[in-house]
Amino acid sequence: MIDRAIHLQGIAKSFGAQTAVEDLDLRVPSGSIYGLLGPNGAGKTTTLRIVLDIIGPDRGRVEVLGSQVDDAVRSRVGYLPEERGLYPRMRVLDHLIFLGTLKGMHRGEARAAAHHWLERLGLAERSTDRVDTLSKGMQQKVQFLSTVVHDPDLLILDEPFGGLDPLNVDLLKEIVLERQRQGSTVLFSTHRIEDAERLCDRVCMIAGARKVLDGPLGEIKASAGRREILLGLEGDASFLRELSCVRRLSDHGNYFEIRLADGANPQEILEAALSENVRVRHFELAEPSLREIFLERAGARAAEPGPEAGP
Amino acid sequence: MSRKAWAITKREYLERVRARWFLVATFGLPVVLVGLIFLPELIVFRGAAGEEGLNLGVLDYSGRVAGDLGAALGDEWAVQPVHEEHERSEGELREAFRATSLDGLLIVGADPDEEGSVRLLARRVISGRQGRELRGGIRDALVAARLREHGIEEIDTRRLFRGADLRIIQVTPEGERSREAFQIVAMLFAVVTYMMFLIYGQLIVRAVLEEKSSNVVEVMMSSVRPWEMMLGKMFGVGAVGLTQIAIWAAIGGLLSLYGLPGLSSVLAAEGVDLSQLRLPIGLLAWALLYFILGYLLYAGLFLAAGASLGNEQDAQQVVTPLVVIIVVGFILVIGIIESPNSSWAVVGSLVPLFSPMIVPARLAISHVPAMELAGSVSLLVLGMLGSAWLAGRIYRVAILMSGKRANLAEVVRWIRHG
Repeated sequence: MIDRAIHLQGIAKSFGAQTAVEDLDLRVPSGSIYGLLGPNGAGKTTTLRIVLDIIGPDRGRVEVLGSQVDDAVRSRVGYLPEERGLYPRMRVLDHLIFLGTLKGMHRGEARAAAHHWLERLGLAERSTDRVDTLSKGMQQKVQFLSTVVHDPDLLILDEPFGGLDPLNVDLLKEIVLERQRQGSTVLFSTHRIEDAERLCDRVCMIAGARKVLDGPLGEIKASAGRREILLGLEGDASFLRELSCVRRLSDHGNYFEIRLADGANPQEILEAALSENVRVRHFELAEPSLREIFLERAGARAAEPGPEAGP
Repeated sequence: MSRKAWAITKREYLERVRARWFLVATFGLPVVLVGLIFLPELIVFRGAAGEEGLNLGVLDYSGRVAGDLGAALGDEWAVQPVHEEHERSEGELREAFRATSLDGLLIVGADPDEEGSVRLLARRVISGRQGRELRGGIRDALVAARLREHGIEEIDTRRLFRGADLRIIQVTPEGERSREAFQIVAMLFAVVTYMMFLIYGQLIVRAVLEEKSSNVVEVMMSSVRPWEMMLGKMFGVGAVGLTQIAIWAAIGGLLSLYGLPGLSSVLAAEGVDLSQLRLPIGLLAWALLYFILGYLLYAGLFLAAGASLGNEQDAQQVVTPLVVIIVVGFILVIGIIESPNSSWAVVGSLVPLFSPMIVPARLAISHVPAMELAGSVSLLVLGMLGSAWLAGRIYRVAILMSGKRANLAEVVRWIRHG
């Protein structure tokens, strides 16, 4: 087994005057769940398309599953594009078989695999229905199936949770984790940092076509070198602003995110709260959220999703 | 061809053949076409069946027409001479005609050779055929009268004017063929090719647009190469066209074996005897070859046009020039069928955009020299490869663009740099 499922070196791509990706290095270890983060328009989709050889980079080297992208590699990759799409007039089972054969499967193999997955996701009765007669949620499920039906070694998911109902989000996460347990590598992009934080071993953040952060999630958080206190209060919280050990305070009303000054003891906050006449409902020592780190690194402007973004 | 391109071909083919559209087009189109060609003639024939000769009064001041007119017109007409002592005014004649039960009153002036001296007052509209028959009858009566003046009596004027039934049989190295029958074959080749290029070209444009708008293209691109998608689409859609032609050929074959009542009599009236029509296999093979090469040429162009478009509205603008080219080709063919040896025919046979329509028609009605044929096929193959290359360059870039239509400068850049 190769230890790097994906290896990009010095990738650059522009469309006309617009730079989509600039000098990007990316190493995705085999067996990891890797999140590609960044605001809309940061170059995530372009990067994924370069990995899949759907578009060629202007510069740089692309290596996927140990070699340049060719038919053999393509057959071992499953791809869920951000813009979902199936042939509306095909029958569900035929469609899965068709996409399976395009991944080099034999028809019989593809049929068996498609049956298995349809059964598992409760779509067996709809297998002879046309795709356009399915509800949107079912079409989404069929689309996931098409990315795993050929048992790929590498899953590439572009904004997989966008526009999904919660049931399908859970289902997709379940499949992703299951693939990882079976040894597959998963690379997915999202502009919703919370999704990545819950699911990924490693993340790479890009903003404005450049990489701003890359590495294992734990290391990134540790290297941020600070801790946060999440504090829930009832009563007058103005005393928090007076404390010398508070370096930054995010005020959410009854709920506060507090970053301590270097070397300060979190206990000081609790003691101060107890000596004031307020009720402490919640006190938690937390690592900084990925969002906080990202905001710090990329700058607030780039990190906030645009108007069309959001869950 | 790779296995993947083959899988795509099969998908494109099955999706279309299974669609209701296919049945409607395959069986509806010949009906419409036959209707358009033969309807006018069928209407005349049907009308003629219920249409009798007129009950005609003849007021003959010259005394040269009335006597022979009855015999010249035949039994369907009832001709009765009307006698008037004095020449009446036009107004009085009309008044008198209204009072009778006659269908028409033919008035022949004292000198029938004088312009406007022979007039027909008619109660109803006279059909074209009745007018022709009456004109012929008057002519025959006048000829008989003139011959009598020269002392020739007792002559069958109908026989006097009868020509010969000329049949043109072309003796070619492959055998004999009747000009009239093969003119119909040439026309059929031209019409089918013309229609198929137009219909299937638009079908390809729609297929590409649908693929873009349903976003399925990106899933496809993660599994196959653009050229595989392109070939699969071109071959799949083309196979649907060939299936359609095969069905039509089978229907045509059955009809020529068992005959279609009415049709053969209509054709016979045009001097075409279907029983004489034996299509040489060589001719069919050439027609098929030209159809396939021509289809691939146009499919590439339509595909490139479709790929560089954003939506259905834009499609019309870019597709229109291609449609115009095909229509021009068809107009050329019609002229060339009339004069198959013109220099237009020779030049047109060498232009890849036109030769798929022109050459099969020419082969049907005349002999095309081997050198010309070789040049024509080679240029068509080159044109087809060029179109495929061009389409490939445009397709692989344009297929991922969504939303706006590419401008010409962009398309040129894709072609040059890929």
